[in-house]
Amino acid sequence: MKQTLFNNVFLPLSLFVISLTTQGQDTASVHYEKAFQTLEAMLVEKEPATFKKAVLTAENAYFDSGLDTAYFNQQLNILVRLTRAFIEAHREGFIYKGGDREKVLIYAGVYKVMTDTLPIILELGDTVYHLPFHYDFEDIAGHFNWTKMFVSKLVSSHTGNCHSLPYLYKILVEELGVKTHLALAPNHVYIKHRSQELGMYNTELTSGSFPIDAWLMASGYVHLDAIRNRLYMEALSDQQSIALCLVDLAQGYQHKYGMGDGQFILKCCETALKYYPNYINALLLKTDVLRTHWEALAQERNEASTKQEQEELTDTVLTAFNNMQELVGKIHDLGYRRMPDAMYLDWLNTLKTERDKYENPKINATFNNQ
Amino acid sequence: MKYLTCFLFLLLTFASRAQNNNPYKGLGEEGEKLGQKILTLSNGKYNEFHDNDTIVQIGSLLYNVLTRDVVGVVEYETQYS
Repeated sequence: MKQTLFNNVFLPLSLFVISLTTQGQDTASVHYEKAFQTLEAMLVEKEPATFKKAVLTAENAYFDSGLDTAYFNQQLNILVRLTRAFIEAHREGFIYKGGDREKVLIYAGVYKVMTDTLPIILELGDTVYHLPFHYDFEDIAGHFNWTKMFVSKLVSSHTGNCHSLPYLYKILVEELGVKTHLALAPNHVYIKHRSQELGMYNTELTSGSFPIDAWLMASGYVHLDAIRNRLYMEALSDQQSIALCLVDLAQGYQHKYGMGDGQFILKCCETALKYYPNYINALLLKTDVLRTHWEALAQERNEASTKQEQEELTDTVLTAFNNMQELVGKIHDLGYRRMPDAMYLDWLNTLKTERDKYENPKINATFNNQ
Repeated sequence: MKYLTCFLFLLLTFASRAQNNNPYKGLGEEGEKLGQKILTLSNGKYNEFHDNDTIVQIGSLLYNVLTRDVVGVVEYETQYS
């Protein structure tokens, strides 16, 4: 009776559930595969590349292509119009006089829209206020909820982190027709600009400030080799920025489905590394994939039924381990040093509490005296 | 076992951090004076000393920088560096 019940009820039911799960994952993989192809096409310049499109592609895959892009674009459009209005209202009083004044004015406009409360006078004379974007201190690295990293989350909630805030800044600046560059520091993304009068300077959206390189280096636990090898503090090209989105895509996949066999994640990392060879997040994620591969092989060897099979697998396991070890050695040689968690949290705090100690006063006067 | 690995790693980290970064510490009182002349960007506010630890964490792996071997693993964690 029990056997009949098992054969007639439990077995078909189990197979049905497994089938549904596999089907669900396959459908999801289609979204991720499609997103990968879009980003890759942008990198090889088969498709027109914009940073906005790259970011939305990665985020949309996480939502199984269900991201409300119309709402996102609507919100973005409001921010662009607000920035334009701010620029027009402050054009005459803008103290920067360099030949690239229009460009710097756009940088300043986007900065103010994102970091300051702005009054908007309506046609009937009423005043409403556009509130600044704030740092979301809850789950800062998206450990528990990966959407915390998303620009779409930032736009809808007005709170974000050091990933989504500079991404949105770059998107807005580019929507206004000007280029800007992302830059990396340990556990952090910020903006690098160049202007004729001020030279290179940094814009920090997390705290709405302009830290100098020396402060970023000292407080960010940056090893000199990491700068020398361009792991950190480099103004990233458009292709490198899209490579960042490719690794975001891989990390979203990992959050949603786990490592799996690692092939999709590895493919994203390898492609990103073609265009940004020392991209630290791609290298670190790749070590995780190689670890998974090594552990799976080691388990297979341990479970082998004969001694001969075990011996045959030993070389394969050793090769996998050596590949992983070689990559870890390379990462260390490049200058990566893991920032202690407590130091990162302290660092976030000092962004707010010690602004006067690290800000570039020249830039601050230019941007904040409007 | 994983917890033991983590504990040993933390122990090593703190043990190494506890060491003074003064290269002349062994010279006694004179060495201590020289140690006061170490200049940093943040004047001690931030940890600006790297490479104090023999074993470092890279991703979810523990790496011995002297022997260049992977010597342990820790729990997977989301990387965002």
